[in-house]
Amino acid sequence: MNNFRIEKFVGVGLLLIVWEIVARYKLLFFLGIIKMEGLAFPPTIPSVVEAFYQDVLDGTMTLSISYSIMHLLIGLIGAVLLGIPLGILTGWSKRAEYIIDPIIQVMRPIPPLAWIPIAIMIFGLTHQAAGFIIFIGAFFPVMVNTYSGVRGTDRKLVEMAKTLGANEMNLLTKVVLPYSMPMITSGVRISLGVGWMCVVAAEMFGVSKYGLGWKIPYYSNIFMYDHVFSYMLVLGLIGYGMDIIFKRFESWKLRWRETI
Amino acid sequence: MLRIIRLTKKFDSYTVLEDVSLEVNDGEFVCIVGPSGCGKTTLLRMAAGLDFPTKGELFLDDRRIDGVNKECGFVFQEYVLFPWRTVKGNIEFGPEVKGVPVEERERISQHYIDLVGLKGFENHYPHELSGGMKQRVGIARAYANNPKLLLMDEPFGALDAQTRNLMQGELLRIWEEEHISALFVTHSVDEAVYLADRVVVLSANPGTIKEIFKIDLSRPRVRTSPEANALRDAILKSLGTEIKRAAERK
Amino acid sequence: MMKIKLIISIIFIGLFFAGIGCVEKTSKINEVRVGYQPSTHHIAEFIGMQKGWFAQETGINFTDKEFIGGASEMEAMMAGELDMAYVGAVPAINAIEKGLKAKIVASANNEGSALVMRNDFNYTKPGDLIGKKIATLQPPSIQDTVFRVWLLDSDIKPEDLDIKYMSGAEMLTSLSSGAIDGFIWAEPGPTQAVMKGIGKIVLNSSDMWMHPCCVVVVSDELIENNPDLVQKIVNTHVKAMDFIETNENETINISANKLKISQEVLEKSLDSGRTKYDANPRLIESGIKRFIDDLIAIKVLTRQMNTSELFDFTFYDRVKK
Repeated sequence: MNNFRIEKFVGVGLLLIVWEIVARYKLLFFLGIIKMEGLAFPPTIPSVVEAFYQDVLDGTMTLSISYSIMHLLIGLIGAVLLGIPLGILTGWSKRAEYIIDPIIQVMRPIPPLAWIPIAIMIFGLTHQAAGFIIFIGAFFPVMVNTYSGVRGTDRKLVEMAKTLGANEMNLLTKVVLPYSMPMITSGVRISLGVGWMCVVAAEMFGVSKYGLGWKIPYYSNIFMYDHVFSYMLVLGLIGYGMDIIFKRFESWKLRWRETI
Repeated sequence: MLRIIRLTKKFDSYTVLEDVSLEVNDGEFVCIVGPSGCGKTTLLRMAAGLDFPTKGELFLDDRRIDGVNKECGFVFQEYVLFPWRTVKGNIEFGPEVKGVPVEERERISQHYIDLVGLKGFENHYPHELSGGMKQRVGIARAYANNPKLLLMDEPFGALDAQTRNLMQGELLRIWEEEHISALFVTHSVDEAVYLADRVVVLSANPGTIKEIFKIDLSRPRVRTSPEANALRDAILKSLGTEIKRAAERK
Repeated sequence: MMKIKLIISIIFIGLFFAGIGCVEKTSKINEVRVGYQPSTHHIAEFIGMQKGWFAQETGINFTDKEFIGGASEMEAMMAGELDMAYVGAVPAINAIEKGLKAKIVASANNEGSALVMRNDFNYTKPGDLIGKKIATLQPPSIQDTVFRVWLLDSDIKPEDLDIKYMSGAEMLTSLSSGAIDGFIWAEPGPTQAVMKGIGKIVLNSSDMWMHPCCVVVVSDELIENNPDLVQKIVNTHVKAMDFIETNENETINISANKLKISQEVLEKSLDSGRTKYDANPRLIESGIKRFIDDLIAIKVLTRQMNTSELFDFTFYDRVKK
């Protein structure tokens, strides 16, 4: 157990050391990757920490995190409310699958970024528009996973339930749904991750001047990479944290599963 | 009482069962033995209404079996317990979907949990139980469904020999409490002789009734008594030729 | 310890090979790469390129590249992909502060933007804009800075407005759909808005204050290694600027081609006098100082800058009139 933890830190630690050396001695310029000597890229680790600290002090960090999480929630809730029922429908009824699935398969590859003009047209420059972009990203994983779970329901369980007297509604609520719950929660977890990755696309058109997805392009444009990295790290760490929390919730909820 | 009348089942051009007629009287324990692929399981499934005959009919207490039979209790070899429900939750499933109120359900499930010897395990999940315990839940669940007919498809096939013997005794003990008609499919002649009032030998494909043996021994039976041995030999002989024929056909 | 050394060596070898892929520039120039944006502010560039003057004067091949905004244009120059740029002074100042080695050698235009509001908006004074949704080009941009400076001059806090940032094309659709109440953008945008009936011009940027706008930026490398070339470039630029005044028809022709908009719009835009074409960089010094102060206030610039860091007047001074 001890060894395992040390290795985790070695990887990150090594990366930080290399980064700091490259930053401090402007190695990227000397290797010809960066053309302007004065450009502070990559930013030194202390400068990133300083930038982070500044933003925390004047409140922009907290505000940005809140806005981004709000946009995520709008999109995620929409994805779950629409994705789970659609997944159940297409998983349970072959006819529904034939009708709905082609539409889904064509829309799935379109990146959320491409939906921005439509989002603005329908919702204006509002938080709902940002949430919509996240919805586009988060919808497909949860729907597809729900579909898989429902369609893959063990036939024997269904037959057993039938002999015990279950009607169609019972089968759905008491057999199919509980059986599919691991797939569904897994789908929601993936949606959470994908939705969070869409935060930049969702916020870059400027619904607000706060939001992690807004700040990153903004600071990139003015070449202030210490802030860029600071916000990028926050973005990554929060995504990681949310995933861990959700995994905890998942294993609590699904404690009936055999532990492998 | 279960009545199977001139039952024929074909899957496309492949005939699994041909002209099978059988009666299971009230409170009777009937075992079906036969070579693999002779349609034993198909027969059971049709009695449960999970499959439909190509020709012929099945009646349970003068009502035709047409669609899923909710008055039977099915026990699978693979247990088929609902993994997300506790022992109690599994057993209560039947009464629950039939709208039985909570207190009544509790009473029923507790009764059967005690009966099958699982007291204390009410709130355990299936994955925490051994094979034998899981099958006890399966049996309790079948009983809790208030069935007129028990259908069991090699329920002890997945257990080790000792547990299997133990469970046979347990099954009889439970069955004697509530004497429900039972149709029991097995590969083991020993098991059939130990449990059944009658043993039906099915022939190789297509499956038809080759011979029916009456087991007139009083329970609890001694597995190695001369009468039991004689019956076992006779059945094995009858079955043996069928197994050979099934192997040759392949 | 060996493992760590191995890993570090591998990383550096990787970086080294990545670096090899980049071509080193020699001081012998055979091509000049120019950046510009699709705005009437950069007409001098259109003329100089279209009529082949840059190439003729210098004997060197000139290529140009279009950018949606100053930010991406300066990013490209920072990455070494441009030698010269027609760009807003604000993005240029910011890039130079962050490490871009270049100088402003001439002005490309002054003013030339306008505040366009919804047709039904009754504008009487700056205070009317409080609480309204006004769109402008993302910072760092001329429009954003000019607007802010003007608001502050009028004793209004920019935070009291709902300022939205977007690209020019998005401004037109947003105004027509009602998502915003108004926008500030460079010509020919405002003229287009009026002619399409989307909105009305309530204020020219020159009414806000006499402000610098776009400039011509040239890399230090060119200035130091090829000063004659740069002199010829500035000469040509001045010639093109004069041409705008004297040959309106041909200017409209060339610009319509380049911008892919109708001659009608261009004529209206130029006739409005909203944009001033004066190449003299000395005239914009004080305006640039106001830009710098505002950029420091919104924390885009991290320090004060002085003229010598930003300008090189020597070339313009030597232009024969």
